[in-house]
Amino acid sequence: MHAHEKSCITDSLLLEVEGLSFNYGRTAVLADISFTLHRGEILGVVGPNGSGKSTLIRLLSRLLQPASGSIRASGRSIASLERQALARMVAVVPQSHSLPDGFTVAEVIMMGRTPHLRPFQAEGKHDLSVTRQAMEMTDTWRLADRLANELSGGERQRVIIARALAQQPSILLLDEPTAHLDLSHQVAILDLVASFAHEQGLGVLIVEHDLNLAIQYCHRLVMLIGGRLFAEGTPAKVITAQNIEAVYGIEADVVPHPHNGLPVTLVARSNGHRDSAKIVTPSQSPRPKHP
Amino acid sequence: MSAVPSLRSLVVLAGLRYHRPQYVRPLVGLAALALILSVVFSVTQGSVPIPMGAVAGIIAASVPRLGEWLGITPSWPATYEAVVLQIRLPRAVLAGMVGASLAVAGASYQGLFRNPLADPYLIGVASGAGLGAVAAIVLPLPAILYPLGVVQWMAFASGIIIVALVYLLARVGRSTPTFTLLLAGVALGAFATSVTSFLMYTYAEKLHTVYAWLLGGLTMGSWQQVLVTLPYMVLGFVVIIMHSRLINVLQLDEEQAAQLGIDVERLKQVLVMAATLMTAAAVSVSGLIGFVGLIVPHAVRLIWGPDHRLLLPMSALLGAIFLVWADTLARTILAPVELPVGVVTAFCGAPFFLWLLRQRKRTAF
Repeated sequence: MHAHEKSCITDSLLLEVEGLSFNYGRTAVLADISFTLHRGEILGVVGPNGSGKSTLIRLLSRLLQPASGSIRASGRSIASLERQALARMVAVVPQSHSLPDGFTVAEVIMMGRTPHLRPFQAEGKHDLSVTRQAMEMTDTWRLADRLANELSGGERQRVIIARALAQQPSILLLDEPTAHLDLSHQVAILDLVASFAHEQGLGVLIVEHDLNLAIQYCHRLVMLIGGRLFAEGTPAKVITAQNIEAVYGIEADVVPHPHNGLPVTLVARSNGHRDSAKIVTPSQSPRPKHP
Repeated sequence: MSAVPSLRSLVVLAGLRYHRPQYVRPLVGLAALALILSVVFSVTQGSVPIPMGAVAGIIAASVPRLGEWLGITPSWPATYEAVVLQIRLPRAVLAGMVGASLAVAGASYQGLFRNPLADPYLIGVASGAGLGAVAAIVLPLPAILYPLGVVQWMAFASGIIIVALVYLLARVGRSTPTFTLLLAGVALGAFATSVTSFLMYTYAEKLHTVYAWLLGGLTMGSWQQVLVTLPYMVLGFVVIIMHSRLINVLQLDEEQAAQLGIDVERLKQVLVMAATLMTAAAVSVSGLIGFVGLIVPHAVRLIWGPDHRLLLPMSALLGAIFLVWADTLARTILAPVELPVGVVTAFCGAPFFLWLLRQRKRTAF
């Protein structure tokens, strides 16, 4: 039911990243990253803490300007786009989202219509129906009049996803959408995201810490270490015991999933302390600070 | 799937909250009516009490053609007309304008900085205006300038100059982070205040005049002041109101607002400019009246919620009402002595605000 049913990739290129580099001051955070994202595809970005995953999302949503390289969304360089035009193409579900006091769920989701409205324009009937649709798809309609900052973690995540859908983007970027959620909510959120990719042809880029979930849901994976692209391809190709040792510095077993044969990473508790010599710390790996 | 959406969500999605008329207009209309009544009541009060009917009649008759159309015949002493039209009405109108400006500027700063403790004086306009006014009062300027309102103009100009300096100093590359803006505002404000104190210390013989200005008051209220400040206040108000939906989105945080397509830097600039213009205009004619810009928008938020499309107009109207009443009290309570209006705003505002906070706290738990 999930990712392993590959949608055939046509020439429906949505996002094209080429030679992307970024520095915080003198520290290189991302260096020479290239990848593509297609319609209906879920691309997972994996890698250890500080490998530049969140920076990548911030670059793709133009909160940061790249030092070099290009980002093209639907064939147009995002650097040349108006911020509003960009927000009509690219929607972001940020990692930490503060929700303001006193606004209802419906009001927060309605804010997703901002890119489609002139600054002084009020929302019209069309915006209301798009918002309602986004709420029904994410099962947040029943929360409509609750205060957004009083929701549980899983509900908040759905609200933010609904807001992103209300933007009617072609590309959806999610920064660790399953962090701090329990297993059932993690699966529910990823099922939801997979359905958008499958049914609406959204291109989805998802930063995911849980390798096993990323393997199950993503068509392709991009593995980063120290701001560099270490491996790229299908989960079966990227997730190998060697790659995991090289990137995360731990020994893990990779076995086939009993249901669908996709790789599963297994970590065993070490006897005594781990041999520190075995931990591969990338010597040039920078530790970017995210302000 | 289980719960049926409640009335409020239906109201929200049917667009009532968003399209204003049904929800916002009656409320704003009521507040506007209360403001008019407050102004009329304020005009009746004073050393010579004037009946409500006479005040209403005089005001209506003074509007060209309206008096004839309504068939009003003057049945009041001629002196009333002068007292109402030349002294009390301009003062009440000015009080309303100043109150509205401070409250709207405060509301937009609270929205912009996402901090309920922000007030219109936050990033230096008050200390700047104070410096300008005190300099104009104590320095030996040509006497001819004073009737032309040199104190006002210097207060207005130096308030704006200080904020402009704060904004330039707070720039980091292409952006102006709000916390640097705050810090630069505090630092430059402290600097301006120290110069002001130095001037006050050096020219101690004019301390009384200086102090009266700093405490704030509307004793000099006149039509001339109304006309001079009105354009700035209206301009600032219109600009801020037009951005009220975007200020709502800004409440998420600046990054999310940018990801939703808002040019946050531009929005910040526009709001700071508009709020500064309104505040500087208000301060130039009324001195430093505290508390209005802090508590009025906060009280409105506590009562009606954080939607700036309602918050901003209601802040303007309630700010106006509040200051009209405060000024009425200030000039009547110890008559013939007049209290500085700032004393009244803090004395009445603070307990009310605390009561409101307690109310909310009780419902929250």
